[in-house]
Amino acid sequence: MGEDDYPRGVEEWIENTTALDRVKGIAAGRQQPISVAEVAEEAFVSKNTARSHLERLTEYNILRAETRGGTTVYSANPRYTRFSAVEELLDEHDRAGLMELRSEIQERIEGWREEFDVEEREELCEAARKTEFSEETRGLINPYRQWGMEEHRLSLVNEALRSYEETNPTEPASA
Amino acid sequence: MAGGYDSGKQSHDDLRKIRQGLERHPMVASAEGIPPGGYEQVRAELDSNYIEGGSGSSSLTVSWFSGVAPGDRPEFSFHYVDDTQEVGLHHHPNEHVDGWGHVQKRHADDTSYRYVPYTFGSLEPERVVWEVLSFLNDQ
Repeated sequence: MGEDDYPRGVEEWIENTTALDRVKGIAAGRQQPISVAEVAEEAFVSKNTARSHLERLTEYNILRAETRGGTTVYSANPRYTRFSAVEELLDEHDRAGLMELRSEIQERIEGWREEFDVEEREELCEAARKTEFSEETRGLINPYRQWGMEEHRLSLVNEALRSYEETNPTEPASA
Repeated sequence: MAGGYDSGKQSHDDLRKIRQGLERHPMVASAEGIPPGGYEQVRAELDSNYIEGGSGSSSLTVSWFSGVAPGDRPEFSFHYVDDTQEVGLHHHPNEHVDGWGHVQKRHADDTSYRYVPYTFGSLEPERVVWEVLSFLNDQ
């Protein structure tokens, strides 16, 4: 492929990143497995380069590899992804900041419970399956997705708080 | 959750990747999750010298939702704002154009947006970052 044939943005991406950056950018953090050929195509590297970097990222425990139908596929190592997300929260916030973040997330989730008169977000998904009009469906699916993100964030913040309290045992424990 | 797939987790992880991708781009002065480490969105401060007609402080705000089920298309928006204009590259159901991808623009003194269909070359978060910034740089 010549430079003029690159899709928009790819030439700048190649100029400003290494092949390892691009392979990691495509493969890291994805729950759905991806093959060497797919990574090579998306990251604009050869299959050999993609395979070499994917193997290295697996050795570093950033990715995990499995064989499906005779083909090796790669996906995020969920323990690494979670660890790095919790570490980022601990870098950004002290205990008070984490408590504030937790409170904000809890308020949003409580707001959806009250607004839609449900206990769990799956009830929104169930209700969306029974709607007649697309607008009504989206009115339920959008908060369903946001609620899912908030539940994940809440679990990370709780883990960060536990970690903070383990490493700072003189501070009072959270309620 | 379908087959171990968690769309909330995937959306959060994609937003973290988008922040990392933005930090590598020469047009980006800084990028962070909003709230920091929390990732409801990602916000980047850009160098407006790269944008034709751009002036003053300029920022890019990114929202990203992975599909509810594995294989679903992501829904996202990249919204650029400076003192003179707003440019958004969006990918989600909408009533303005056929299809999901579109560009919406308005100058600071306009009351409404102009909408143009747009087809993204890839829906991988990192690829979309570089495509959007290339688009903004070419404006």
